[in-house]
Amino acid sequence: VTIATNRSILGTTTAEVCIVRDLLLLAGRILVAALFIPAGIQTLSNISGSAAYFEGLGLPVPVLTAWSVGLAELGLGALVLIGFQTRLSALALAAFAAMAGYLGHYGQGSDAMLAMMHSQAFAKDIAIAGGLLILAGSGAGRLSLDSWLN
Amino acid sequence: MSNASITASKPVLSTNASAGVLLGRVLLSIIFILAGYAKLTAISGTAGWFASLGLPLPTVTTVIVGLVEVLGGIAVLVGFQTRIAATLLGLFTLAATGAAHLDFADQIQVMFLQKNLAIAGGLFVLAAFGAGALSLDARRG
Repeated sequence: VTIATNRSILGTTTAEVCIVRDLLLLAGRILVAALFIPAGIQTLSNISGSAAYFEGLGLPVPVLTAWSVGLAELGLGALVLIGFQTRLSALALAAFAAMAGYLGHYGQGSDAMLAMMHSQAFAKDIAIAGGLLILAGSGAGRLSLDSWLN
Repeated sequence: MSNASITASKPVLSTNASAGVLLGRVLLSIIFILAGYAKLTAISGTAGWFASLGLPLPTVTTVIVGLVEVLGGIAVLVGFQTRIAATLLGLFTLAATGAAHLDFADQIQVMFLQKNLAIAGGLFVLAAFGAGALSLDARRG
């Protein structure tokens, strides 16, 4: 069976295009995980400080929230990185990112400078949630645990 | 590898997944469209900021950056030439982050840098996957 050539401007074959796409998916997952995994480690390594921050945001049961947030960031970030249960993990992380952006950054900031910083951070969180929704739709590609277990 | 296995490896999208990817494109594009619009409607102010970052030809750079953000954002939103638009916008995001957010002593800059990398990651996922069924690309075949 011959491999049909793809209509690519680079003149690459379908198989080559597939490999590039898998690499792009892996790169995308690494870049997303590089936000959430360190954030989770930071949250978990300073539970009392994190709890005080969440209490300041008016969230209930701040210590439990700190543990939940830290474990969600670290755990879901790691799942997205290795590509295990990727669609579910990415969906959960998208919901988390949107909620965290809303609770942590929407309408926050005591002066104009801080308010601008918070609104930028909120816009970025929304965009990150969007990227994770796309990952939930696409799946992790072949360079993932999901693919190897299948 | 045979054609059959390549075809079989293509994901079959459910309606839910297509709707999710569309919603993801909406959320991912808003920031670029708004940021580009803000730059194009305040060219001299943005050019002053770019000059302070040491970028060359600040006014020209402002117009180009603004257009890349607005047009790239709209392309992602409607799903037009999505793979190319998402790749360019992802690379643009990495370049912009390198130009503006590399002050590692400033915790806010580090946070913005990480968030920007995650946004670029989302764009690369979109570039790999394409826009899904609910897009101009899909309608055009």
